[in-house]
Amino acid sequence: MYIQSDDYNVIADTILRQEIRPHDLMVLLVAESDALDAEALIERLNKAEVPFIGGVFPGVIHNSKLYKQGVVAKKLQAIAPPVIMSGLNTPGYNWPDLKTVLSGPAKPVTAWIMIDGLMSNIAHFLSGLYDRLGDQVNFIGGGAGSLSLKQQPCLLTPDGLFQDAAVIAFLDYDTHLGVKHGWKRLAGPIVATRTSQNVIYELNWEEAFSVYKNYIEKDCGCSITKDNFFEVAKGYPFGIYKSNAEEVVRDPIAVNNEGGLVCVGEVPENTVLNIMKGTADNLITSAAEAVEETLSRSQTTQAMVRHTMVVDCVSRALFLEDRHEEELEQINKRIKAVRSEVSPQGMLSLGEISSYGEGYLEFFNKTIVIGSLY
Amino acid sequence: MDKIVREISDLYELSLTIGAGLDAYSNCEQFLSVLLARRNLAYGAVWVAEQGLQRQPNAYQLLCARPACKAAQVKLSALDPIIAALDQDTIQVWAAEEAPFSGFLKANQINKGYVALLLLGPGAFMLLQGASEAALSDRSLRQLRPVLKKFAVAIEGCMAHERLREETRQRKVAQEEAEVARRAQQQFLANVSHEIRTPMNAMLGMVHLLRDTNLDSHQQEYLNVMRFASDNLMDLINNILDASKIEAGEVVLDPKPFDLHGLFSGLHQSWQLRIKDKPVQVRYEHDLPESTSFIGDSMRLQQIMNNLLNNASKFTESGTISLSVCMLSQRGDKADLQIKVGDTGQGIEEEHLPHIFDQFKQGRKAVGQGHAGTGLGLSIVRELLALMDGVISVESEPGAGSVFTIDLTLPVQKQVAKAPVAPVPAGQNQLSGINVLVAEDNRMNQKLVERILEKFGCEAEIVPDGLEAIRRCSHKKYDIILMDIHMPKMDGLEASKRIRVSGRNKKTPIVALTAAALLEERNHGLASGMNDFVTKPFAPDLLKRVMIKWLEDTAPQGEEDHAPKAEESPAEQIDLSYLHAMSGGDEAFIQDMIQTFLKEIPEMIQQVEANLQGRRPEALYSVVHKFKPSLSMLGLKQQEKACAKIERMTKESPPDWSALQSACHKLLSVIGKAQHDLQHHYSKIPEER
Repeated sequence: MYIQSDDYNVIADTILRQEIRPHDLMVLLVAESDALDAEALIERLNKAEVPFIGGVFPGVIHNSKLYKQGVVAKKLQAIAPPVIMSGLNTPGYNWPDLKTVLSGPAKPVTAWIMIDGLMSNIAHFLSGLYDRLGDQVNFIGGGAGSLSLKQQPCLLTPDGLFQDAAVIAFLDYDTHLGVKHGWKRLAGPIVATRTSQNVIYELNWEEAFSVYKNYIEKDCGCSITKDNFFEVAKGYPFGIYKSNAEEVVRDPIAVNNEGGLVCVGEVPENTVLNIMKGTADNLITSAAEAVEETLSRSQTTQAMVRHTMVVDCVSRALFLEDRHEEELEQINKRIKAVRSEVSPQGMLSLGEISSYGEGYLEFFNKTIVIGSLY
Repeated sequence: MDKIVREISDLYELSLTIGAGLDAYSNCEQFLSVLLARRNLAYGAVWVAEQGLQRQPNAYQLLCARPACKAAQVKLSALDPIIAALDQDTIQVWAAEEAPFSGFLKANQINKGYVALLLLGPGAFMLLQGASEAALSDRSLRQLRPVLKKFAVAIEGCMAHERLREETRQRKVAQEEAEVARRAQQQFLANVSHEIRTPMNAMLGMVHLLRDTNLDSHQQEYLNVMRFASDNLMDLINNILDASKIEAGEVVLDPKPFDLHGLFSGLHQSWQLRIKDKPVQVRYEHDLPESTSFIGDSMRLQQIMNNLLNNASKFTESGTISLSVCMLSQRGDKADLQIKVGDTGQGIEEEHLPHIFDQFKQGRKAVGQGHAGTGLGLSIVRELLALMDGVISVESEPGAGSVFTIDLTLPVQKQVAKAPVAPVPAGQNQLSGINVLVAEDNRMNQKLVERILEKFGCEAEIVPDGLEAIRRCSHKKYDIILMDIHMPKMDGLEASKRIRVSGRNKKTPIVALTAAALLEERNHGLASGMNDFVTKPFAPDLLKRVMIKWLEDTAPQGEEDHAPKAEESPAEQIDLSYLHAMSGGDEAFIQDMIQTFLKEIPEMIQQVEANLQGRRPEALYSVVHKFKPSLSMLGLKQQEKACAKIERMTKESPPDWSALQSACHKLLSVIGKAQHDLQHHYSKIPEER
């Protein structure tokens, strides 16, 4: 359900008109808007005892459209109350006992994760999550936050608005995933010889910005500075090598005072990187491939698709600009062809979360993750 | 080309994760994290042999699994199917449900995709799981092999380091526990020693006091038995304490210059007195160069000699006990000494000789039941000598006697150290009129010390604790302070510290009278400003010697209040002990000395008066200085000090003639009294008229 309003009363009233049954959980994907009073929305939902979690994103997706306003409210079935983890910016934060969450009868479980996308230790958190849940759970989700790239409270929970936090809904669905980005190798390999969390300080034992600049300026034909870095770099992300799969993309978004490149997501020291380049056609094609991947798997099961979740990186939308809708149309058309009553819904994210198919849990950038829930 | 570059890059990154630290788990976790991420694998685990990497181990333990939630089983025996499936040469990949160790996989929720088993080296293997067969392709696994070998070596290194660290930790814990136990034992010994010595002090002291009363022959005999038993008990306690301290390595030598000949002379005289009831002669011979002193722990050497002499006296009923010391050679500043203690006692059976220095071993039957001893004495002798790098040997013939020979090398010091104080025969008095403050909490000991000091002619003030001692010290100057250590309100250590800070008794000698016999406690006492120790129970003579020693050592150094005043000690008695000791009891010699002194007196008085009147300080100095040794020989120590004071006064510029006159008249007055006493009580010729 998409609610095209910034008025919390309208949004709340619309949600409250839904029939909420036991085990139902409202997952709210909220488009970033100054007009929306998120605290008041939380208060109204709490008052009505509606179980919910939510995140604020640069945009939300409903069918083939991208909306910069309003809320996608998805009523999904949960097997357990959602887990809210805050204070993730402090070292040695505590983990809840996730074993008890999954202590019910053995059946497929999907973990829908929304995380503060501007935290510097997201991969570390996801590594800890995978350590506790393994591949018994399908993971899908993305980073919440503002397009301004200024960190602020962006996760809605019954306990309030949070930043440096993550919310996880354990959903009673099996999920088939498609993960693609369509970025191709331009140059490399380059070794990230000195890094700290999400900042690359050195590439090939030299200042990261200088090395990166040398590579990029040859291709883009323009001069890259700290000021225009975001605009230029959005077309030249890093790719981390991964066997039998596309590279994991890391998006450099800024240059710090030491010439370090600030990325969305960690880059471990000694990681071998490539500089990637994208074209609109490649990216749109990759979205089509991702949806095919999730549906090709679905054809092997007897079950019907009940929901399709789309986690599309905001930088893809920025890169594709007017053609972004083509990407969404590709997905919508293909899903509708399989099951017309299913509306692909999702958000523009600051980083995407998924395993590549059924492997290790990853945090991606500039990627589209599509999950078909059965 | 592109593919191989990517693969090499992948292996490069994996290689760099190896050996980042010395913790096996962290290394493994980091390696598996990168491996799983780069190879898109769902699971990885490393197992190692329980007792370090080795061929054909009996059991394996899980070192690390990612994700950690798949670690239901952490131990594997050599008989587990997964171990049987390990192959030295091939990398094996199975569909999860077809693997020969599916039970293990199911237990660990590894129930889909493919699994690969890789031997890392002797006693270690890795299990990987991927969602697809491609993730575990033969090519990719073969690429991994050299990296995995390096990884296995790093893990083995880490585990060896951890084993070493654990062993070190355990050793440290054991050492700490041993140290705690040692301290507890030490404290126990200190406590027991204190608790035994305190009542023993009272007992022995009373025995000594009783001895000086009128006793009939039966009572005298009972008293002798009591003294004998008490002495034995004290020997036993001392030996056990010493053996314990030696065993704990707590005996630390305190080498200082000392007069070896003086020490042995003292021993000779002392043992002559101690066994005077037996028909045994104690002989002493020496061959030591003149004016040579040695550097060593004289207290411990004395202990060694006393143990040997005690042994000799126990087993010799008649004949001779011989003590000798000679310098065999001198090499630079070191001298090779040989000390012998021989006896004509019962000797030692040959079969017992090898064990004579072992603890709790006795080589010869004790003469009487009371002489049985602990069997520790000779062991202590050997251990103390070992600390001095000396050796002891024994030759013996049953029925004829034994000779114990000590070979010892000591550094030589050219200047002669101060001779030890000669034993003072009982009955002589050098402490008459001395002001003594006694801090002692035990009522019995208070009484005993008071009585002993009274016998010495001292004026004693008894206080029950350190606090009261300080209070008294702030009001009055004492000649010497006897201080117990363990007391209520304030202990003797603290009280001594405070007395030393300031006030009238800042420099007054403080002698600890304590049952604390351990070196550690003695060191605390010295650090607190005490000068010496007399360990309870003590013989009155020992206390007297120590008191005299410190009263002499603290002769006035220009401070008026330190100089004992002649008029304050009118009761000072003549003490002929020095003449006795020096002459070996030669009465004729002593008489000769007395007569010489009596003859000197009139001339001396006349010269003093003349020089006072003529105000000739230098001449007055010469007369007094010349006469001073005579006073010393007669035991008139305070008058000797009065002379020293007059000497100093003559050196003042200009001299205070009024004060000099007063001091000289006081001196002459006391000398006059001494002259009278000598003529009436000591001299065997009529007074000259």
